[in-house]
Amino acid sequence: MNAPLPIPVSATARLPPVGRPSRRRGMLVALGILALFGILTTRIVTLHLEHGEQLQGLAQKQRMVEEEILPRPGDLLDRQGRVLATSLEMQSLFVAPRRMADKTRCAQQLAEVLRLDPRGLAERFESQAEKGFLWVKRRLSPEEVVAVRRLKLPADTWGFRTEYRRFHPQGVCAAQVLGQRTIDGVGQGGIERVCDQRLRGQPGRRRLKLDARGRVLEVLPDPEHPVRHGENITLALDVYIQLQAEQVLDEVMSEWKPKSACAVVLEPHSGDVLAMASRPTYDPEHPERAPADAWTNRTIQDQYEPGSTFKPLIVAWGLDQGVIRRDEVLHCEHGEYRMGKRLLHDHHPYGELSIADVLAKSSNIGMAKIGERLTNARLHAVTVAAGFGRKTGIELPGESSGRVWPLKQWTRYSTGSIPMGQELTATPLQIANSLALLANGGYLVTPHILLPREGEETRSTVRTQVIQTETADWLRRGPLVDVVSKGTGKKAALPGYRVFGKTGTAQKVDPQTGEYSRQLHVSSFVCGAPADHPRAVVIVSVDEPSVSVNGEHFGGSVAAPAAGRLLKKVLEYLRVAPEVSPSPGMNVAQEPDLDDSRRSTPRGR
Amino acid sequence: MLVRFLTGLALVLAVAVWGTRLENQNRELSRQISLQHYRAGIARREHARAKLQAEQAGAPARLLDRVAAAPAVGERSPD
Repeated sequence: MNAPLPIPVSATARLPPVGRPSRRRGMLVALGILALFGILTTRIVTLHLEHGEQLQGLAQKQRMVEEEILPRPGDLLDRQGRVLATSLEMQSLFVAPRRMADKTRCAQQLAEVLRLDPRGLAERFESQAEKGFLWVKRRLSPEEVVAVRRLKLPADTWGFRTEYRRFHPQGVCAAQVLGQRTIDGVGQGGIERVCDQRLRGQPGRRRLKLDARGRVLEVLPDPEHPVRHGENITLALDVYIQLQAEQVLDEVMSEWKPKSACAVVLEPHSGDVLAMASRPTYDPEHPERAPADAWTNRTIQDQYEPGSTFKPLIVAWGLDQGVIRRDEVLHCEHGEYRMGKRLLHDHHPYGELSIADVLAKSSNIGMAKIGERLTNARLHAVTVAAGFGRKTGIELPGESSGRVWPLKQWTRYSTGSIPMGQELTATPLQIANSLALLANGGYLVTPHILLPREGEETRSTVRTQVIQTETADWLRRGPLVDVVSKGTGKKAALPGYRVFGKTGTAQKVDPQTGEYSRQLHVSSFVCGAPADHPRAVVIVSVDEPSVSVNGEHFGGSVAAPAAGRLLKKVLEYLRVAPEVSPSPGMNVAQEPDLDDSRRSTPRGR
Repeated sequence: MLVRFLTGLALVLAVAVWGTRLENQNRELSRQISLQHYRAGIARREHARAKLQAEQAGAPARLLDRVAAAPAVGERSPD
């Protein structure tokens, strides 16, 4: 057995203590680590307390980006749901000139793909060298977008912004009614202006979570700011009828070469405007090419003396008030009648005329005699009650109210002038609405260009009875049908249908002399059909036709044929069955000519 | 002791791995949702473009002349 070596006590005492240095080293390392942690903790606390918010914001900015979501503007639809105006997303190109190293080269490259003037673009970049944002071209085509991307310009010097552009798939159709959306998405004119808030919608927000290289990791919708796209608006217009109205006006413009023309088609019972067209017009896709006078919606902005188109209302009122009878005969003084100091004339010397013939032949003297019986107070009452002198309330901007002088300003002269549609002015829509009143059992209805919203049962419509239903029906089925079948409106007659209507030829005031001109006229014709159950009322108004028939510009020659053509298309489209079956080659309205027809000879077309 | 230590370590690791998987799944779903947002945007754009083209193609203005030129139903010959 090996016994352990004896170690002397003194020798043991001199040896260094086993494990002490390593423990101390360990302690030092631990202290070092602790100190390091202490320093780090202090730094963290310092950063947190002193620059916490700033750094937090910086980190958030690097990781999260907030982005606005553009609302898509609502569409404009016709009553059948056809799209009249819609919006598509387009990209618009901007640059940051201050970050561009070589502005001239960049301008050249962009000008080449965007078909811009390179020198002009370079000059813009140089002149605005300090700017961080400069539009180069807005609403690029998809091909241009691809071409710009292919240039691979430095990422921080350019970018695309999404914008919306309005398109009009129906072409040149109701341009003045629809209006325009500007390049900045603001509605101007027509429905675009009136319904701008509804169409525009509400922008929303969303957050994008990015990685270190700026790529999108996540899209986080902001529930507090959701995007609300624009509302679709349904109009009372019918594209087919509207296009027919546009076509008829084009024909009128080429045939009569007037200063302007307009047409309205009304559904008399509901007040819905089925078509509303004006000439001159413009292509809504190229508003920059529009002539200055093409922006006016002439159906509600032009005002002129209604002339003879006002007469049916006065006759109806005279019957209602009991001052004339349906079977009464008025003596028309063989073409000359003195009212105080004023000498009135008819176009032809008429003797005795029935009430129906006074309208059919548009006798001014007959009307003046009815005016004398009614007196100014009652003439004024019916003029105001039928909506003249105030806006109709249609949902369109810039409507004229027309002009009706206050009763106290009316004189004895007015007693003769008002019944023949002088001394007051009205818009074509007001005139059409006054005939719609007779087509609607004597009720005046607010015309509408908008259909009720979804879930909305009614619109703000005023229905006022102005004329007794019996009187309105008799006048429409009798005297006003005579106007078309044997009177001044013969050229609007339609085979198979009983058309009622009234011509109007208003003299305009010569701006140079301040007196009624013999050359300047507004020729109009307002009509409707079928006489028993009217489905449509049409007005065609032609301002200053420069081509004349035997030196005259009668509404019966200028406007009536166009109104008749338009009414025929409308009735066919609405599938209104003919009231009477026409015998071959026989027009319902082609009855023996009376002397009035000699005034206007048919124009060969 | 060692067994207890290893068990604890394994438990911690398992929880960590499970957590990571959940995190990955969550991230994948978020990516899918973002992708759907992106696709929905494209679909809306394409729908609007297609609708415009359809409306242009079927616009009465394009067909008006042809309809006017064609004989009416009653006017067509029996054959």
